[in-house]
Amino acid sequence: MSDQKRQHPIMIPLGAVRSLLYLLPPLVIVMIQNIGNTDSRWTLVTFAIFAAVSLAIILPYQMLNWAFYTYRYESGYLHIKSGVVFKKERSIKQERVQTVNIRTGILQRLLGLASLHVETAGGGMESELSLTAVTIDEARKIKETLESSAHKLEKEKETAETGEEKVANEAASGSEAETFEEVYRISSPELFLAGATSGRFLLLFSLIAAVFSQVMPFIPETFWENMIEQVTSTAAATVVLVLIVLLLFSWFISALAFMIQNANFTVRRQKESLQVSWGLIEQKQLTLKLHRLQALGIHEGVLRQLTGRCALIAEVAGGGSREQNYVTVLFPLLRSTEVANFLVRILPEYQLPRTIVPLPLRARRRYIFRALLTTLPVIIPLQWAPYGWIAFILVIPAYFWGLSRYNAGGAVIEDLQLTLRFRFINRYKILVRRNYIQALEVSSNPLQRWWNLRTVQASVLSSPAGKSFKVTDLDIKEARNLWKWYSRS
Amino acid sequence: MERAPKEKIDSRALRAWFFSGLLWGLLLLLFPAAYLVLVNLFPLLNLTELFGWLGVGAVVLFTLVVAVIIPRLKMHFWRYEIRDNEIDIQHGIIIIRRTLIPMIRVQHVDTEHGPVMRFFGLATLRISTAATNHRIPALSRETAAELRGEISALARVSDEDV
Repeated sequence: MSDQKRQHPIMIPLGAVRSLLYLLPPLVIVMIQNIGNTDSRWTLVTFAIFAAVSLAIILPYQMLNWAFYTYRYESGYLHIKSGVVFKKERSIKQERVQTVNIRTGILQRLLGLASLHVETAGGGMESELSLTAVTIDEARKIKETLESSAHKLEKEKETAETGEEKVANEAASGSEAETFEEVYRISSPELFLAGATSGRFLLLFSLIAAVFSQVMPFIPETFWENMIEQVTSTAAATVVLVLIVLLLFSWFISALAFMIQNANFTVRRQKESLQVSWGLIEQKQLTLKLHRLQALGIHEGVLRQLTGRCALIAEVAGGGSREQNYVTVLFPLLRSTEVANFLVRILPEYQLPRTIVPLPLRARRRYIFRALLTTLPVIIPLQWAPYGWIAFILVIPAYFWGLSRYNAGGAVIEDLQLTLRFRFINRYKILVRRNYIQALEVSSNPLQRWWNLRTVQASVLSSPAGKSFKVTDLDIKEARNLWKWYSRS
Repeated sequence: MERAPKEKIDSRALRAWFFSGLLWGLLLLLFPAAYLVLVNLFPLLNLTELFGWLGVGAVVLFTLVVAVIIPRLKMHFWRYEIRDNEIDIQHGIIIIRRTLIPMIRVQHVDTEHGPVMRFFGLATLRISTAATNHRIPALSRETAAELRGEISALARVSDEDV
């Protein structure tokens, strides 16, 4: 069982046919263009040449591909070697395997073949591996070897747990006994506020404005004349008025739409899962196994921060894409003061940190400087325009933007949880437990090294691929603390 | 974090990078060379030779940077250390990045080598977690294979779920 094996050679013609199929669309286009052409003989000849040439390229390529793609499985591993010029070797541990699928098409079944797809955690091409043509027996054998240990592991997982996690789990399960079937539901006024501050109205506004500009010519001119006479005498004021009305209208509509979409938003905590349900017309429900929850985001949009509200967002591993388009909203609107309470009742695994270590004062000028830099591409070209110097007004909002970004930055560790706080436009707080950070990066450019500042970035698994959260210009001491906390040696 | 990781990449990498940089340079040299040939074959086109020579100069400079200077800097700054429970990588010339990957987060380890790397007996080690990809370039092939085995053996799955 230990020698390198190849897939069934039928893969060569199958692969060739498959690549030829990819060439069909351009061919069809060529054919369609030549339909009017009376000289159909010429078309046929080019078609034949085209097919022959592509076959002459594809067939040897597929043969080499087949010859160089070898696999081997032994207790614990599946090894795969591939590549004609650029060699690639990969060893997959059984425990890392999430699912093994065997698929058989009609053609494959006739030949007694199957294709085997192995998926490991994480997203993207790198996580998936497939053998497209192996005998059914072989596929079953590989599946068995890869899955048997996965089951073994499930059992081990229940019995053996390391010290620190055990304590954490017990603590969690202790409070779970009380919070079993905890329910958190959004109230209607809150929901309306959520819609009103969702920021979606800008999108809708542009849409409505676009539609309106199309409809405008059909409105009789007398109507406009009356409007202008009644309301104001100048046309410019009318334009402004129309814009304001449209804006309010789209705001109201988008808030209403948000309300209907998210009506009855409810989170239920069950023992090992969260059940999220929402919707008035179309009821939707999402069950989130707790171990798939990778990190918790507290998201304060500008409008929401002003009203002291925030939204809770879950970073979920794998499969989330199909259930709710990539972003998993755990709760659409919550008083910021209410978050701690929410976590205690629904998600005692995460705690809102009491304090956050802010950025050092010397980072402030760097934030402001960076914000000012972003205005340059606008200001400089405008200097050639008349009254271009007015563009310098941009410096003022940029200054405050930089300042508020600086004020938002920070990080803190509490037990096994890291909290990062940062702002681009909206302010985020990311709560992530140590076991769910995939990798930690501390980086510095020469100026940061001069000022003893560091950028810290934590990567978390989140569908569709990974996500990284970054805080710029942390004090070096704080960065070292984080490093030490994350390091396991 | 105060102490940089111990291991450096294989010194043969200098030669391999020099060679592949040179290949790139030769490939790029074709463009100004073609231009010069064109200028001399068709004097009627009224093109100046100057741009051709400027192009040659630029390519030479580029080759020098890519084949000699950058490899040296890379050699100097690339560091790694494989410990029982984590991988510690430091790289970057201007922006220095230090990355820590716990063994239990490692999903799979690959080794990769193109024709030039193979000629010099080198390989690149790729380490993937569920969310990130990392690499250690230009290790001797034996070391890379060894590390691959070592890391996949160390990368036990713990009870912590991904």
